[in-house]
Amino acid sequence: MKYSLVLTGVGGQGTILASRAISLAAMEKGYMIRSTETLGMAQRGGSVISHIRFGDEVYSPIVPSGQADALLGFDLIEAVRWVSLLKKGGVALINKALVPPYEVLIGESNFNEDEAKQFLDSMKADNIIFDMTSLAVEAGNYRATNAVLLGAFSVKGRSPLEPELIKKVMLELIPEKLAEVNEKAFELGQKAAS
Amino acid sequence: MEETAGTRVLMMGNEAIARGAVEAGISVAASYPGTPSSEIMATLAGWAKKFGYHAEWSVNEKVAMETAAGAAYTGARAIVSLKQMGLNVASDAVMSLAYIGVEGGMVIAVADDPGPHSSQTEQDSRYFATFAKLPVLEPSSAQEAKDMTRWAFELSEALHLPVIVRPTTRSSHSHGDVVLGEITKPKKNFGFIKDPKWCILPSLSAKNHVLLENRQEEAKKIFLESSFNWIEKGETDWAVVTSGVSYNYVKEALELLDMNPTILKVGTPYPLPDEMALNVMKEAKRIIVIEEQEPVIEDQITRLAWKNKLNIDINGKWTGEVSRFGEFNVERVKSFFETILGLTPKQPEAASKAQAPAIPGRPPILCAGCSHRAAFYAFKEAGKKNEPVYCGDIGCYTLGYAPPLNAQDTCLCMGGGITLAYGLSLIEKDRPHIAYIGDSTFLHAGMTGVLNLVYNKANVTVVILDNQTTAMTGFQPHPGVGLSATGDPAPQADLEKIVRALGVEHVETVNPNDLQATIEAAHRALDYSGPSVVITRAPCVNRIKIDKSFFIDKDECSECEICIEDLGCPSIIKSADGVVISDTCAGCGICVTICPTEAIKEVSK
Ligand SMILES: Cc1ncc(C[n+]2csc(CCOP(=O)(O)OP(=O)(O)O)c2C)c(N)n1
Ligand code: SF4
Ligand code: SF4
Repeated sequence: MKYSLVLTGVGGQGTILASRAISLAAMEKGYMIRSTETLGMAQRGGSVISHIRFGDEVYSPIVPSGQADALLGFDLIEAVRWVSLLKKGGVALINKALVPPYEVLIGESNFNEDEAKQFLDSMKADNIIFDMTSLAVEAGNYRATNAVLLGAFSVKGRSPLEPELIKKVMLELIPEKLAEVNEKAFELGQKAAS
Repeated sequence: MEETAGTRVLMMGNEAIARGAVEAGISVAASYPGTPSSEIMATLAGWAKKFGYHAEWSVNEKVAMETAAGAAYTGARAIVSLKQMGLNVASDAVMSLAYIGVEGGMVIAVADDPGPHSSQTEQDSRYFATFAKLPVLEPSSAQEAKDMTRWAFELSEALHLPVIVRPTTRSSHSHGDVVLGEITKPKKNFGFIKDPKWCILPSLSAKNHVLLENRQEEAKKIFLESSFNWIEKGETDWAVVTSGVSYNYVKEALELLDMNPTILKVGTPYPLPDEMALNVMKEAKRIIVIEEQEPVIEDQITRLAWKNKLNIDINGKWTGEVSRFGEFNVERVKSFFETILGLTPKQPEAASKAQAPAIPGRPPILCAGCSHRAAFYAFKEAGKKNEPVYCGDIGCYTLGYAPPLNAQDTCLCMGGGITLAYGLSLIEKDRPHIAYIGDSTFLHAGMTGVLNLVYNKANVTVVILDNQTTAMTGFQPHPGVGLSATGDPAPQADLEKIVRALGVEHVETVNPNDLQATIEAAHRALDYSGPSVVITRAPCVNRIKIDKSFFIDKDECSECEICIEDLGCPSIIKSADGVVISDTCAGCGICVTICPTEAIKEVSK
């Protein structure tokens, strides 16, 4: 068994916490783990990616292209940027709400959201796109978007990690006063994805 | 932290290095932050009280290096952690230290950054190790990072030399499962023994240079027995030599290629254990060397082949197939093999073969509400008619280089902004020259530059962007913060007093979020003839919560978009409803000041 996934997003969105939760869940199951994340300069609102690999034997912490079982996108643009990592028959779970880069804001980019979505639909992979930020706001805080995404992953990621395990590990990583919001966000993510 | 030996835990490479140091029983840990090395000290500082060693953020890397060396002179074990550029700053100490040596184990953990992801250069510190003639260990996993660090102290004591442990971004910032070892409590009974051997004089250096050379041979012998070097026997007439994180890419690339050559995995890239390499070289017709960055191992292999008159092919960087640039990954390593072996490339089947649509770039930017943005805006306003040169420096504020702020015309190295501005001003006498420098950077390498401005009667304006933290590298405290690495209260350096003591007469401190006051202070500093300093002081918004947020009143917004075009705050966005302020607003309020129609208002609670 070998399972690979990537989480892509914008620095500051909580990709690191989400990837830590998944790695720790894999750890509890006794797998060998290699994971890596973007720390440093890109954390200031730049494009960031976390790679997680676990299984009986894994070496490279970076997911080789076309080998990700799942692509978790905190942002539509960032999901498309890294889509070449997703394998045929994999699953993409993507937040529809996007953070516009400055280039887009000032109208100097020809990025077209509909074209990006059509492209994702044309992939030989399942793709589930919904507005995770709104669900996080519904749960109580837009910052809980990562919990929504984890919830969606727990039911649709086709990983050997049980949803309850992922939830438990995530809640252990979160300060107690935010637990309720995040638990609710996780559950809203599960519901929206199923 | 889990203490029990034998427990399996998830650890980041940098945490594993910290754990290795604790297992070795360090007495002192010193560091200056720098990506990708910072988490080594952050981890060590967190454990310091529990295990009874001293941990500190030093003022800069040279200070950290000498502090660790001093401790190691007494027989105690000490670690210094830094990034590759930090090693440049500390290099004067390191070069001499190789001649003088140490008593207790001293480990220099230097993290390189191929890519580079967060650095000015892509330099390979293993070259520095060969230059200084210090042994260097290169981990391939978190487990090895821990075990190597622990062992490096023993090695250092055996050779009486500091030992370099060199992770790269992808080993520093990767997590893996690590089995913990026993923790050694630091001993207490160390002491400095007076001896002429501690005083470097030319006559001693001449003698010690020979000794240092001999230690290279001793190191090679020890490395022959090291469990970090191994040979995996294969079936082909060619063999691979690899090290560090590249070993992992080699393993997976070969699996994809379905090939099984002999692999020499090197954990000690310098000095290379010759005999071990020769064993592999003598049985192969071709050696492929896969190492990130510079051909450090490849050079040694090539020399060995020449010295032993081996008629073999050596493929790597000098033959052009293996890149010197950027980070490796499985695909790149696979393509190196394909080129060298003349194979037709095959790709695993990806979800999409089609070309993805054009994607806008997303470089890092200053956070919403960053106080640096306000300072840059104010000086830009004040400098409008004279076209000043803005010399930047290293930190979050470097991100002000981007449009629309365009606040940095130069950026070189820590502390370099002030002195570059001075050099420019010597030639361009009629132009204002402004140097931006962060508080941590000012204390690290800016004070001497300011003294030089005073001494040489320069006409430069220095803006110290004092956000009371070392933000870019992860919010470490520094001497201006009033906290030590371990979270205890510490004497707080007063930047204004320091600058005055250096001899600057025109000094003002302002709150940059008071935009109008800052613009006025900027005017006064630029009008002043002679060196002037403005300290813009407001905490980094990433560390505090301003309990305010703002919105744009649609009825009053004229859609001029000045707020977007002049500030570049990521919270102000264009939407189907016109210009709006998003949930991410940090409440700094500076956009309120610049809106010509007063359309930006505070959300009432
Ligand atoms: C010699 C050297 N050491 C360390 C670093 C890593 N580094 C990058 S920015 C920075 C400090 C930034 O702190 P500060 O000047 O306070 O600016 P801020 O990020 O808070 O805006 C450091 C240490 C480096 N680039 N060069
Ligand atoms: S929107 Fe205005 S008040 Fe909010 S963070 Fe940006 S500049 Fe500051
Ligand atoms: S972390 Fe602080 S200093 Fe850095 S960009 Fe954000 S607000 Fe500015």
